[in-house]
Amino acid sequence: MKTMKRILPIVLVLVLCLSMAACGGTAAAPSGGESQSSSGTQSTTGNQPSGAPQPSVAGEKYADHIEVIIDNTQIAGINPIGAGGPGSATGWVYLMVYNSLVSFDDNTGVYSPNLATSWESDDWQTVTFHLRDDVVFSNGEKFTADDVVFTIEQSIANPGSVAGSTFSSVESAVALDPYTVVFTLKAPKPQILFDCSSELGGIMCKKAVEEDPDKGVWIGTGPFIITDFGTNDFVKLERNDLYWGDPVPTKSMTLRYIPEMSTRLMMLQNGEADICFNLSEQDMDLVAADPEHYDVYAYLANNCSDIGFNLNDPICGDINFRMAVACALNRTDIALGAAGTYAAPETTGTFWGSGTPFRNNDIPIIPYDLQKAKDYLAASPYKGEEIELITAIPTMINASTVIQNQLAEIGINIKIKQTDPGSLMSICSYGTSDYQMYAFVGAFGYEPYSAMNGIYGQAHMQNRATYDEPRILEILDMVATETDPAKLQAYCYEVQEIEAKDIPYINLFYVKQAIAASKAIGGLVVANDGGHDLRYMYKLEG
Amino acid sequence: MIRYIIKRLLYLIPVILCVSFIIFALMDLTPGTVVDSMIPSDATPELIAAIRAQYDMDKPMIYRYGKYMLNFIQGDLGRSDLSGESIMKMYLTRLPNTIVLALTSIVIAALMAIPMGIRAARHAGTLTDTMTTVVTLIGMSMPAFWLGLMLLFAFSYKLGWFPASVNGGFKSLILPAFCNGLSMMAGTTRQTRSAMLEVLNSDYLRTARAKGVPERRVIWKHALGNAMIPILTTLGGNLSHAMAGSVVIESVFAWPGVGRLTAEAIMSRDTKMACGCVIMTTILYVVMILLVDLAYAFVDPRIKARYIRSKKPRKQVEA
Repeated sequence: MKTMKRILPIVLVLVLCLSMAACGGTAAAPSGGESQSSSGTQSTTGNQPSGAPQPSVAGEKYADHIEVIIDNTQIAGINPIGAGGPGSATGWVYLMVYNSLVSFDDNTGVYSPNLATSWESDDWQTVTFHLRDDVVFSNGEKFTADDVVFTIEQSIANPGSVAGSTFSSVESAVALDPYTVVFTLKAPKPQILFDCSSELGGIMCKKAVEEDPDKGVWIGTGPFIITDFGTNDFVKLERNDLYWGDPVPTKSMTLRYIPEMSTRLMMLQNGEADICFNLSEQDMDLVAADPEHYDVYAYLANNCSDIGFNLNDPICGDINFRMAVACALNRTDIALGAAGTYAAPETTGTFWGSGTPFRNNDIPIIPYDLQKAKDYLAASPYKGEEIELITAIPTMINASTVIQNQLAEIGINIKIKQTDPGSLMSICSYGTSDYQMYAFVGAFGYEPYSAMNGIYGQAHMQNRATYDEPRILEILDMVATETDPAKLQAYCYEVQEIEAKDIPYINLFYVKQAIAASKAIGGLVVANDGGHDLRYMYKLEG
Repeated sequence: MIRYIIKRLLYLIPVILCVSFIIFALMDLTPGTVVDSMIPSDATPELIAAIRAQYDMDKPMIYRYGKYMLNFIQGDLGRSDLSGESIMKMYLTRLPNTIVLALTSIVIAALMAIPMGIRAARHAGTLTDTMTTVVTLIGMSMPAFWLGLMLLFAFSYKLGWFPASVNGGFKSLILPAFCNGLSMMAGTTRQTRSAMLEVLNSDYLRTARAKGVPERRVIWKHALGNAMIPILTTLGGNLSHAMAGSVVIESVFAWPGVGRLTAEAIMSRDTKMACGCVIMTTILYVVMILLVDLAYAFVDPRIKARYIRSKKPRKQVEA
């Protein structure tokens, strides 16, 4: 005991020293990793999945289980009629558990059958869907038109729910026979097919939900079944052997939320996780530097990292001030400061999603010109006042510091106010005069009308600049019912040109997202809006 | 003693009322609501109004608070606006994790702190004392966030002794408990040292030694017994804090405890969830402090005697 007492403090000191020595190891690593970042990108492109399940190498077997660390979005609930606004990882689970009526190919923009074999509409206000007759839910119940009607009715009764947001344009649904259902929309909307293709538009089992409102909502027709769920913690999924589509290679997957980035890296390196959907730039470099063990899948996020001006503000509402800001910004330096090599500066003058259809790449960028910036500033009502720039999320906070320094060069005094994304979205909303400028991320989808309408529509949440441009509003009305791709393209191009002249928003860069996975992982389908498809993901044994 | 316990528990009512109102009011003052994330980007004003009405966001804060408290009085903490799950169920799912972590941490802290504190007190002013002071200062000043990552790096990544996540059963508990226990250990060691210093030169210890009582018994029974009240207070305080959950430890080690649950509810503006968690934690905290107070009676016969004396009817003083 006496000896123990003597050595206890020494042991403790040794433990601390060991921890500190370990700390030394981490500090040295990033510099090595940084030099390897380009090799990481190469490995990424080389391993970009094709979009279809990849067959295993001959003679190799699939592992039964895959441990997945999800991205920064948490899975608060899995319930189509629960609260809406789910993060991307929740969407992955929806895709694994449920099926939507229609499929949409992000690359080609083509709709194809899913639960619905075909559809027709004369006016896009009444749409008839013909359903598959060979589908059963994971509980063995047969899938019929009644389940579709039930899902729509539930979505109408719960407007704030996942299904409610997805099917917000549907007024009613009627089953003509067990395998035919008719949607009546509030107004003509050809984009209803896009809504019906969303992973969040999965069809629930009427009988299961009525029997058990809590767990019945987990019953879908997808390739996986939810076996356990911890809010904001994990989801355990098992293969649905009754799945009507091609059987999935993996028996079970656990999707886990790990809050701390460094812990995610260590879990991947320890083999506690097989794939990690979000790492810090430095950690990603470390993984990329070890191509023998890991693959890095990188993709350009669809959303624009931008700054926006409040047009209700007397200074920011002035075009000369906005032009002065636009001329003073060096996007390359901003992107580098925001996320190092994991950000790609915008090279055109458009404010549009990187992968959203009808992107107008011919709009020239406003060139970096300090003298012009000073001239514009002199013509503006700005007289040296402090301009508040609200920002949230780490990349945009980093970018804001660079913006602050760049604008200081022409005499604009920027005060950065950091907040959380929820507060920013609330403060910087349509019609307010509570802010002047913000640096955040403009969410663009793959469907041009919804994307434009969200950002430029009157009174819409994402129209943070309160940009009510009459011609754009007129175009939005026309786009709402337009189905001709050529006309759609012309409208979208015109909107981008008008925006580029008025610059209520300045697109700065796109963040390169990266996924780190063990070499044995394959079959993942990456989407640049974060809606990845994990259904056919596999892990090779051995 | 029963009356004392009931009186202390009754204090909970105004405490809960105050705490819940403060949480509700602060959440209401913070920009943004839970509903904001539910509104589709291209939602019409009518749809926005319908969604806000669904979650009572079109009503004043006092109405929502009153409705929440009415349900609470009936034993219903309600459902999370975000996940739709029962708040009580979610809290109770996470609580065992927090209790296990808190108890293990406190045991680790006590096992390290008490022997170290005693040793430092017995060798006050010597190198041993100085070393103990250095170790406790390091323990106090090291941020749990940094320490946690270092422990993970050394013992999980480099040595591979423990898992980095909660997936490894009992082994998963060791690192977070050690990290939590180490920060608790620092304060408890200092407290033990100073409490022991006060009693080590007491006459009754000298008498015990003179009567031939073995030194180990003198220290561990007679001295520590009398120095136990402040140590117990420190450990009790630490335990109560740990029961509220540690957001930092739970985040670093991905430990699914109530601290993270509360913090996540606040970040996502889920007022009902945040309020439910805070109310439950308040109840737990008050009960823990009460238990610590009651434990005094078991370690100190003088306090026990006082409780017993207070039970006897007082003699009437004649004029």
